[in-house]
Amino acid sequence: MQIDFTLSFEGYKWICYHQEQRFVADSLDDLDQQVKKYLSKTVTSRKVEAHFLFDFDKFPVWMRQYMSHYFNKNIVYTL
Amino acid sequence: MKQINKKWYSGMLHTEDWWSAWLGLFFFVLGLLSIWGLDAVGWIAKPKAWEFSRLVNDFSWSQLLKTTSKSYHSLHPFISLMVTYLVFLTLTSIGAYYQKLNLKKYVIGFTAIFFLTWTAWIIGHEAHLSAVDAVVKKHNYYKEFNLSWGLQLGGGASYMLALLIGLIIGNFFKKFAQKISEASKPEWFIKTGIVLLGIKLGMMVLKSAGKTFELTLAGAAAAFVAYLLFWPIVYYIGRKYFKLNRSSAAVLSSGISICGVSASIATAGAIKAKPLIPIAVSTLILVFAMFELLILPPLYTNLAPNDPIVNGAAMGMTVKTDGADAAAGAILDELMVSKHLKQTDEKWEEGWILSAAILTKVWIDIFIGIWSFVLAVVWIKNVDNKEGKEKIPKSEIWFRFPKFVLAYLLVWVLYMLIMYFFPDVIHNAKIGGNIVQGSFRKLMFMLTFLSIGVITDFSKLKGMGRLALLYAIALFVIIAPIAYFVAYLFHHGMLPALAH
Repeated sequence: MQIDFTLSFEGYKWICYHQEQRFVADSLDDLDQQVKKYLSKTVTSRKVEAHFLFDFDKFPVWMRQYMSHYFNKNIVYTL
Repeated sequence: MKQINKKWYSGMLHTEDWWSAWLGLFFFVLGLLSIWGLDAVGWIAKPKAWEFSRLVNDFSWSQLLKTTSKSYHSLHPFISLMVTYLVFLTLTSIGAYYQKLNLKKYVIGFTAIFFLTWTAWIIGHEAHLSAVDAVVKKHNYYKEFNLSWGLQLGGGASYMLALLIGLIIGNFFKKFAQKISEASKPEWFIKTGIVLLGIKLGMMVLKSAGKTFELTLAGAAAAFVAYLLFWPIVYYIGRKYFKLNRSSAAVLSSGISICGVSASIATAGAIKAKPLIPIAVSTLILVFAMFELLILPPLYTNLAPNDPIVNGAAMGMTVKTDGADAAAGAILDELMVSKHLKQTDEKWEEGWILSAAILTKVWIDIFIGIWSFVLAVVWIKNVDNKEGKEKIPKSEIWFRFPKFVLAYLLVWVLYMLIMYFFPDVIHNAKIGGNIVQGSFRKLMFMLTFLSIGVITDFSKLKGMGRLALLYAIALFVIIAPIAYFVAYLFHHGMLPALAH
């Protein structure tokens, strides 16, 4: 099973969205744990491949002309 | 509005990078119509050499401007300027619309930047600033205007003036700078200009294939060697002497030693640093790029007047951001060509020194995607200890690849192929090609000069203390000397072709 998450940030916090769900954490590791917890409650499949896609729209407008991508990452969760 | 890169074609309509490619390719195709005898580009306005007292005594627009091609000579020079404005405003506004910029603000900003740019361009052509005391294309404007004195800066005068006007706005008229910021897009303008420079490279191959390929390969080798030297040295100093954490040291090392803002964002993304780090580092890079741009071209021109290609290549490896590098390369090109002409009466063809600066930078831009991918793999394994748990999609290399480079290479190769397979059309193709890589490209460069000044605010250096000190030391003590040494190693003895 595959699920897409939108990744973003606000100040020093990482933020992650999936549908109506919103996760906020100080580190990406904490965010991963929150997502894992959420998936284990909501998904029946034992193996989930999560695609974290960074929303570059949160970068300052003046910087977007230099680069238009931050990062995407995939994590396989075994629930 | 989300800006997510998920598919390989993500961003094709929404990023400045892609729009540089579309705009550059459109102009290229427009220029090619001359093969069939259709001049679709000659309407663009071009500044002329003029002299102040003559203009005051008898003002006419025709003293200041002309259409680029003879087929449009019946067009009044001022109308030609307005046509140029409307065409560039329309085309860039289409790009701005798709990039989701505020169109009203863009139109206002572009209009201000366009006319300020042309003001600088025209003033920069005043004979006391630009005319060189030598015969060029059967003219010696210095003597024709009976000058008693002159700075003899060639086209460099316009570039420096545009930069100065931009800097004054960016630092002393900040509200106005903010108002026109929606159209202050030096990277978009310069990348479009670089795509058009692909035509010049095609022409250079025709003129001297061996020299051009040597320049290209030497640029690649030099950029690769410089990469391997710069990054670890700056990272080590950042960690050891400035006690930076790993993330900040890595992002700063890429920013200083590779290609500025784009490298710092790519590296920060690769190591998953908090976005505030590349934002802070990028501010620093932009301000220092301006110092490099102001200091290095006159310095290299005077220190090594007989090593033009070495100087150009060194510039490409030292000056960060494509905009500042191309701007520095263009100033260096103008200053060195003028100086050589003044001293020897021999005119180097314009564009070779600039191309040396651009080629090393383009290679560096190409490497950044691969370098970031390698760094991401190393970081996951050795720093985050997440090997096997987290995967980096290979598409990351593509998403970070500068797309305008594809258009630059495409234009270059297409131009060469047309010339090679259809030698009968060379003469006609050159008519359009020369206008596009000349007047069109120079306008994009001039727009870059002004807008790069507008977005540079020196007061942002306040509070940067430790980072700024490391940046200054790394740049002037490590990067600049090593870059010059590497450039010398690979480019020494290479000279531009002679202009006829």
